[in-house]
Amino acid sequence: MLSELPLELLDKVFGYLKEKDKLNLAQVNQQLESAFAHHAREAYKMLQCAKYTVHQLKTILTICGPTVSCLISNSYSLNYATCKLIAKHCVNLKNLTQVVRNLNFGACKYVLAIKGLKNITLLFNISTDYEESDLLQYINADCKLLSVQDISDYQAQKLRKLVNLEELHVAPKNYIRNVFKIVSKMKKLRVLHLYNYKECFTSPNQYVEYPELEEFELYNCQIFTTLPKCPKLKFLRLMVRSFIDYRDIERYAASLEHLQLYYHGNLHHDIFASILIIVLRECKRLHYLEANSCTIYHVFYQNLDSFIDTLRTNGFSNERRFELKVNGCVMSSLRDNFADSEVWNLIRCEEM
Amino acid sequence: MPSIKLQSSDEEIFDTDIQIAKCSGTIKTMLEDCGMEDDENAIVPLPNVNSTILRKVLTWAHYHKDDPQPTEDDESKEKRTDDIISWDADFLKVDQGTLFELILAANYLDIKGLLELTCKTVANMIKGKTPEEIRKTFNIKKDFTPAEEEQVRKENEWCEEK
Repeated sequence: MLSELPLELLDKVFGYLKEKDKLNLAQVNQQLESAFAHHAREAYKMLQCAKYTVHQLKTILTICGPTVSCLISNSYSLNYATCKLIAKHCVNLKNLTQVVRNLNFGACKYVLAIKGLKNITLLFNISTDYEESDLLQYINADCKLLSVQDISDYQAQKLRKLVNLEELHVAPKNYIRNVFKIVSKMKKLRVLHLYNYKECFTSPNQYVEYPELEEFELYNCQIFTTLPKCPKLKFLRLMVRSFIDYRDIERYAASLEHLQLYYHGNLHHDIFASILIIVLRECKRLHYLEANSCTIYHVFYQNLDSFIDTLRTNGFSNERRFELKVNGCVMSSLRDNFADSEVWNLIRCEEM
Repeated sequence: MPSIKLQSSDEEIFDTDIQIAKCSGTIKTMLEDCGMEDDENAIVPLPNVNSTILRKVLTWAHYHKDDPQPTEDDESKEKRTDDIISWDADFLKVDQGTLFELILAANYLDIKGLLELTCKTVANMIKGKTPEEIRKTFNIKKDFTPAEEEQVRKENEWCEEK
C-alpha cells in the first residue's frame, strides 16, 4: 500500500511529482503528510504566498509552517484565515514582507504579532478613503528592523511606540509630520533610512538626538530643519533636493567614517565643492567619500591644493589611501589633466 | 556463461546468469565480498523477496541487461515521468500489491533502474488527482482523528471566506 512504503521510497515518489500534485498527495493521510514534511525539508524556508491558492497555502502552512523563516505575502487572497494559520504555524518566522491592502488590513495584525519576527517590511497599498486603525501597535516587541513603504501620516505617527527598533526604513506616501521627532523616541535605533521624505516647510526646528545611530540615509528628501544630533554616526548618505547647510555634517565630525553625498539642489557645484573640502577637513575619521562627477570635477579644478592638504593633514598617504567613489565618468579626464598631481598617491578611486 | 543460484524467501532457487544477477547492487556486493563468484554451488539467500516478485525482477533485469548504468540523481533537474518505454509499461501492468512489492524489492536489491521505473509509475498514478481521488486509487482511508477533521473543516470554511 502506498502510504506504507518506507519514508525514503515515499520521498522518491514525491520527487517525481510537481508541487501541485505533491500538495494533493500530502493531504491524503497522516503518513503521506509526514512524508511530505520530510520531502519538503527546507523548500518553504522562503515562502512566497502569491504562488499558491488559498488551499495550497493552507496545506503548506499546516505541514511545513515551522520551517518557514521568510514569508513574502503579496497575495490578494490572503485573508483572516490564512493570516491566522501563518501566526499559528510559522513559529520560526524571522522575516516578513507584507502588502497591506484595504481587504487584509485587519488580518495583518495576526502576522505582525508573531513572537520572534525580527524583520518586517510593510508595503502599504491602501486607498485614500480607507479609515486606517493603528496597525503598528501589533508589531511584536522582538522586531528589530522595520521597513514601511507608502505609509500614511496617521500610521507614521504610531511609529513612535516601536521603541525596540534598531533599524528603520521609511518611505511615506505623502507628507508626514515630524519624522525626526518620532524617531527620536527609538533610543536603540542604529540605522535610519528615509526615502522621498518631504518635510513640511512649517515644521518646527527641533533639536533631536539619536544616541545609538550609526547609519543615516536621506534619499530624495526635502529637509528644512537641522539634521539630528548623532554622536555615534559612522555612515551618512545624503541625496537631497532642498538646501541644507552642509556644514551640519561637521556635527558628525567626531565619528563619521563613510560619506555619500549627492546634491541635486540649486547651489552651484563649485560652491558645493568648497563646502565639501571644509567638511573633509573637520571629519578626521572619514576615509570614504562618494559623490557625483560634477562635485569631484570642481574639487579637482578649484580646490585641489586644499584637498591634498586636507588628506595629508588627516593622515592619508601612499600606504593609507582615502577611498573616493565617483558617480559618472570623469576620472579618466582628471587623471590625464592632473597626471603629475600628488593626489593620486593619496586616494584610491573607483567609478560607478 | 557463469551462473549463480538465488534463493527467494519461499526457498525457490533461481539459476541466474551472473551478469544479470549483478544488476542488483546488493547481490553484486554479496558475491564480491563473500567470494561466491567462482563457486557454482553457492546460494545467495534473498529473504526479503518472494519467488513471484524475484521472477518479475529477473525478467526485467534480463530485458535491461545491456542498459548503461544509471547516473546519479541530479536533484536540481526536474524528474521526467513520461519517458517510460512501452515494454516497461506493459511489464508493470500488474496489480498494486505487486507494484509496491516490486518497489520494495528494487530498493532492497539496489536496482536503480527498476526503482526509478516503479516510482515513476506510482507518480503517474497520482498526477492530476485530488486527495480524495488518490485515496480511491490506492484504497487509502483518511486517518485523521475526529478532532483533526473538525479542525480541517473549520479551516476550510475560513479559507472560503471572502
